Amino acid sequence: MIQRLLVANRGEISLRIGRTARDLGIEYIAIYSDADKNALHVILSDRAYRVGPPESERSYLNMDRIISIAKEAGADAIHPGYGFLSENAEFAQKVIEAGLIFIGPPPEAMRLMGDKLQARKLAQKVGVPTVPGSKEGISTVEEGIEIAREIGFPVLLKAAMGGGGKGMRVVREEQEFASAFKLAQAEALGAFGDPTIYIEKFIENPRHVEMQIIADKYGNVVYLGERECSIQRRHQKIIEESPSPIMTPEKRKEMGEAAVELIKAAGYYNAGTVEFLVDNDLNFYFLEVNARLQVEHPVTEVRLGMDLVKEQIRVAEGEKLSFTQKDIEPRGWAIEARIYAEDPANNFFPSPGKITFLREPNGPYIRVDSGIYQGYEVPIYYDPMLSKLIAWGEDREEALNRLERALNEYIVFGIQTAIDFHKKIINDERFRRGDIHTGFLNEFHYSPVERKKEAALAGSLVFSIRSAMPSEPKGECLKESKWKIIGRELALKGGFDEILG
Amino acid sequence: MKYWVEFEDGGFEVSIIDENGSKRIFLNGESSEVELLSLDGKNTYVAFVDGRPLIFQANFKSNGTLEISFPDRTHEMTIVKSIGRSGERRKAEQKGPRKVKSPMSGLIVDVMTEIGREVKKGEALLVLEAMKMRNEIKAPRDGVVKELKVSKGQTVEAGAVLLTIE
Repeated sequence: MIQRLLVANRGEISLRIGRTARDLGIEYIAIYSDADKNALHVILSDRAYRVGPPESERSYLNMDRIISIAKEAGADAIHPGYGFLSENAEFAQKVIEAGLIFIGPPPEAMRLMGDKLQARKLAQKVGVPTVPGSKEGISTVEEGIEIAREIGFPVLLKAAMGGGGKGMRVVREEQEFASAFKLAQAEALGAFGDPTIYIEKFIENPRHVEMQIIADKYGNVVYLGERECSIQRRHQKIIEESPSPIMTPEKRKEMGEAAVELIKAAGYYNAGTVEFLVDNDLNFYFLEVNARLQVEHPVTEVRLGMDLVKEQIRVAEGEKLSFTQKDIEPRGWAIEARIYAEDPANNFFPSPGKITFLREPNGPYIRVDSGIYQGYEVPIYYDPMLSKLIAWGEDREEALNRLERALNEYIVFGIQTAIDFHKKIINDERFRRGDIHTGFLNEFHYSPVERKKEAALAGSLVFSIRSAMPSEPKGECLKESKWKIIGRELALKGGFDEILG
Repeated sequence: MKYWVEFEDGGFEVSIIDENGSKRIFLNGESSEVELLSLDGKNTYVAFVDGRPLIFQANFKSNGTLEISFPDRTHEMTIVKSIGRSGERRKAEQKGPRKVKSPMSGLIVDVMTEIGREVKKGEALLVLEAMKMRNEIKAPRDGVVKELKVSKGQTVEAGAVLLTIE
């Protein structure tokens, strides 16, 4: 039995895994780079160790250092989270060789699935349909252009070792190929340490639907239902829901069983996700296996009343799955909005900086997996995702209404976030109808509403009290002593105890 | 007290009157009862406008402007006390050379243009890497590159002028 678990990650996912560990009576060991010394996952850990300088290569990607910290801390297991080393078979191998439990799939299966080209070949072997594309990695621009011509533009450049949209580029015309290829290679090298790029036919406007699976070490594989992840920007998901609005029970079974076949053929165990592209006629094509816990796993958890991290830990400890396929009965509808520090009105540019005010939502059937707090400075070194907001409802409409309510409660100042952007999406008529595809956001026009009148009102009010109190320092418009009065006034207003709480 | 609130493209005249401990605000011919409370003892406020809460943050900038941020949107303005009915209006900034500023702090990993080069709107000029993403900085309009303030490998702050197009 695992006593002490090191989470080789940062931010919300480190904390989320740490929470389950504690629920199971396992100590939660966090690691941090110099940029994360006062991150939430560090503050809330049982014990935290410095892993290195801010750059990922020298901290969260430093395998030997992480393993030596685990040894020093007396940890008996490592959970890699998502991103960073989560799909690195070499790391998994090293963890096992160091006598520790790796909470994830076996290195051999990871190696197979991590190589997107090998995974495609395996899928073809077991009869799971795949998207047309290059058989091998592409090393030169000339070679790439030749293959792209063969399968026909537009094509999609993908990092063989990739995921999360990094190193991925759509190329619509031949003259764009060279520069896109170089950018994709550079990103792939930076993000995954391997510049190998391969080419797939770019299917216009498909849906992205994925199947969550869990498998034990004894060949028991269960699919836990699909997630619809078609709302993406820069090939990165921002809204995920389950079930998919287009799914039928028959298709779900077909897709689930295809996923199970593939997982079995790969000798895979622990949690994993099989991703598919789905066209308008509900044909599905295997895309890749994500050999890790996914960002959007809570969507599945809230429908099943299941803690996937707990199941991962159990499987890693060598236990058998405590359920079979017929026990899996998802309830209602779940939807997740990823809250990024970015400016949706400015091409989604990341927006690092200090969070000067924060209120996160709460209430019935709302879950917030967050890595931030008021006063926290969002570092520039890592992925700009701050938190995930998950809402559950009996049906899609209830889930969406609840998500909107929670988004309205989510107040962040100091940095730009995609909160308002999410509100606009879920109120879009096409989105409401479930008429979505991976190109949805390219066609979606967002511009925040002008609020000049309200701004003028707010501005002049602040200006008036500021000029009335010339002795106060800048920005400090109210004296400390007034705080109690304000508190009483707020309490009298009713409903604002949340703000003070 | 009367104020002139000036935005980039026009402004509002606002009056605030104290009446028996409560405040009334006149804006665009409408009047509302208002109350302003700080939520953090600093610069985050809720204004109750006829009882409807409006949460915002106020930041006075070093250039003399005031930034009002709502959770979804920030507006920058200049406020002056009005003297007389028409107020002290100020001309919006003259149109001139267009400065291309860095949208965030990061690292310049590529420079694809040079001084004197003619550029088309939408043309990629620089590549900025931040938070592991490479982002192309594009020309906001047609013109000629007059100034180029950065080079490959340079770290830039958010808001720093990268180049000027005239």
